[in-house]
Amino acid sequence: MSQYALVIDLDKCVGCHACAVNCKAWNTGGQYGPLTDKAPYGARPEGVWFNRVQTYEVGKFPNTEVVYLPKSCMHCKDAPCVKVCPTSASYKRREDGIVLINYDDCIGCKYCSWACPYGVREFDTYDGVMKKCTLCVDRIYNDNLPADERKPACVLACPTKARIFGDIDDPSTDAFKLIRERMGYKLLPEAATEPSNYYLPKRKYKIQLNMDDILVRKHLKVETEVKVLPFTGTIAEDIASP
Amino acid sequence: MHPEMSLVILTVFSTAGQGIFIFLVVMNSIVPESLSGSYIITAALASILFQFIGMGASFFHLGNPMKGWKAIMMWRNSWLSREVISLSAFVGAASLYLIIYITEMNKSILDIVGYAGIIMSIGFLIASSMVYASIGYIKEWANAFTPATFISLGLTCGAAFALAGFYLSCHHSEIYPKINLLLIAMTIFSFILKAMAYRFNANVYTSLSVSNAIGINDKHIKLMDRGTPYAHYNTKEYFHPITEDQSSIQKNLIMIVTFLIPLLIWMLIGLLLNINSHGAAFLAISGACVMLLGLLMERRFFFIQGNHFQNLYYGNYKKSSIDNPLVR
Repeated sequence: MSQYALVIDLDKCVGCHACAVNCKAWNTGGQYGPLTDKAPYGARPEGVWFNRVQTYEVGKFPNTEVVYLPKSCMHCKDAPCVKVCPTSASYKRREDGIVLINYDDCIGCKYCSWACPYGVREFDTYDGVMKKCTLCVDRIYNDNLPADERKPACVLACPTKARIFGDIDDPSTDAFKLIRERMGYKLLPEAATEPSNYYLPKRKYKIQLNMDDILVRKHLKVETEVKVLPFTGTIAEDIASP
Repeated sequence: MHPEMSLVILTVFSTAGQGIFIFLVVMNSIVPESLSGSYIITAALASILFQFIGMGASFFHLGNPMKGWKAIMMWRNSWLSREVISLSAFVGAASLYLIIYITEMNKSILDIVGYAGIIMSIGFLIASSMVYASIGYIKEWANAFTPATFISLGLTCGAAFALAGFYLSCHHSEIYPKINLLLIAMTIFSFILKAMAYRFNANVYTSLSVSNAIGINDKHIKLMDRGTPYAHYNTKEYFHPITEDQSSIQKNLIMIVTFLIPLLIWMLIGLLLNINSHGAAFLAISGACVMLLGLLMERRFFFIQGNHFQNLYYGNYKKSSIDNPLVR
């Protein structure tokens, strides 16, 4: 049995929100119908988004770094939202593990969103139903699209290729390999929902700069060479002590 | 959590209405001679009316009320589905009870239908409270105090209205002081239970922090950007801004209005007044109404107290008094 999911490389994510914007664009015009957006250019732009990118500052100044965390439905293997739905509108597909909502059966009770520890379900007040990431199920099986475009809209939009889509249970996929090679982790494992989306941790880089070299090379109009070595301490410490 | 009035009204009115029915059936099968016909009809009608107020309010909570009937489909998995089924079954049983009484059918059939209604009522009280207690990501809800207080407060409020009805029906009986004593005992029990629940929730253990939420092991993590320029569903549904002081004031007010004022009223009735007087009836109704008001406040605060895990991502999660030992 397959389990399609996203693998998100936090090391590559630059927090540009392109994934969120493209997700919104596709899902507003796609087969699932429009997402509510009240006054998108007004002072109070309230609307439904499947994917949101949050920014965190980690560490204590001056030893800080910024982490961008794109978050959408985790397509959990043991999805609590599916279990609590009183109408079976929320369901998990056997063939690919995608968690979807049948809008025809959804009564808009919001109980599924309470049962989700990640807060990735958003209530559409206009349609009166709960909405969430569909993993672009209307793209990935769409024969009208070229084969290389049969991926979620967020994956196609990412300029740094920080988002990888694939079957995380199939050893031949990039998603499977990356999770193991880069020690991919799940968000909030304490919630015990077995989320399918994985996050690849940020790597830390050591940048060695020799100021004399830079000055000479600049003078000679030669490009500065930057050495990237495995990290041994915090960034600020390494820069401070060459 | 955001306190939605439709859910507050649903949980309070339906549980109180079921309390009225349970008392009616028990009293009618134990001491039928003490009850007047008008009382039985009025109490059964009041119980059904309370259910309709609750059910009516619940429709305002739904995004698609016209499809609300579909909520009965997943009774195997969902407590919400079980709540809807048991509530509908209870309304059916209570209506049948009323019809059987009015048509003066066999008393034993009346009792059987009444007890069937009680079973459905107990099923509803459990299902209704488990809707909240089964959400493991809200520690303030996911504990035994939630079903215990839902059931206890519902029955006590129902008993308060039942007592007011007894006094109003002006049917002389020696059983009234005993019911008054029972009501006082139930109120004291509910008071202790609610006080324990508040104490438990004030010290609820959670070692979670934003560090666990985003999977980065650092004690100093600060939210810089929520990923949205304005409030949206996730920042509004799971969070209600309230300070510690406001929370403490509300808790004290709830304890006074829900328990202490009604308790004083019932003690006054029992000790000072002739229970068959109109003054006693007026006081008993006032006490029941004050308790109902207190219950509405209590249930609203129950929602406000709920602190969902997903608030971790938005920096709204209540800080734990205990640091996570895994975070260096």
